[in-house]
Amino acid sequence: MNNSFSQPEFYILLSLAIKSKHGYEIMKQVEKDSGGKVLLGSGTLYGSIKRMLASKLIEEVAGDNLRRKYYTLTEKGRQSLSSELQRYNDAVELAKRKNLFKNLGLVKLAL
Amino acid sequence: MNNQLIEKSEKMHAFLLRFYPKRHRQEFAAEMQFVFSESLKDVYRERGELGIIGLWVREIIDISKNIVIEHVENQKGGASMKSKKINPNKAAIIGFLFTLPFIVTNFIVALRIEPIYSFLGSFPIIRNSPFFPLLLLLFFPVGAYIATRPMLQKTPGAKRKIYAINSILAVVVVAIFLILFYALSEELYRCEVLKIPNCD
Repeated sequence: MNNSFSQPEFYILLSLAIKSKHGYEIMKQVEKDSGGKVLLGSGTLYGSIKRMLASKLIEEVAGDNLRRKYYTLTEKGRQSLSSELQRYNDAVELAKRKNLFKNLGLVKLAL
Repeated sequence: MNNQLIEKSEKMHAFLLRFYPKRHRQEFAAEMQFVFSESLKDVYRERGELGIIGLWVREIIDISKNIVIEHVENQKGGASMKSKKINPNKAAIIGFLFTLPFIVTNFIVALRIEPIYSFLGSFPIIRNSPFFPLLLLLFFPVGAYIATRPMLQKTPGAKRKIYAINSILAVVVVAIFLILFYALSEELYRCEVLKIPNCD
């Protein structure tokens, strides 16, 4: 399974990990989760959604508002996200073991 | 709440969405409009007109970039189902469309076509920035590249073809870009950098 996502795709998957959301909710959640560093425009948001629907990482579901399209993670999406998070976690653990955070001047992460 | 500004912005956004491939538009345009509309109301509530300007700057860059991506992906998708060949006529049309923002904006400003002229003028970044025309001019080389893609494309077992319309379009667009870029840059350098009086 290829788990390399673009940054928007990763944050979109993350935003859908708890519950299904429509486009605007995803956009706000991504902004919140990334601490305002990832601001999705409508083009990037729906471009990513389209590709993720095609890769079967997410799927459309019925939601509270009938006029909106809601999206949720598929089983494949859930597995891909957990693999990606595991990969990040492994990288952080490795960096800690090698004391890289301190060497790179990332004092907060070194603690 | 400045409903007029929000309404105008929504209309302009809906207009920009027309440049997406038809399939993408049919599936996502309504949702994209909804997301943009909600964002507009949010940023206006939080930061007023400045927020709307910021949102527009982000959205224009985002939409322009994604229109190109979607067209390229659309061509790839269509090609993989057929003969893996980019349609040269479509490429020429899309390439030409990329010159339109500069041409249309200049046309609107020169002839003061209402209400678009007032709408554009309501954004200080457009009204006050001398670099805005240069920014629009940068779409020209992108258009030229798109027009030449059918000639650059490698198809297994087939030689590369030269398409007259695409070649002429690309050469003309690049030539216009170079001339205008040189002229505009020189004018901006004299007027904005050297601050020569009565510079026009």
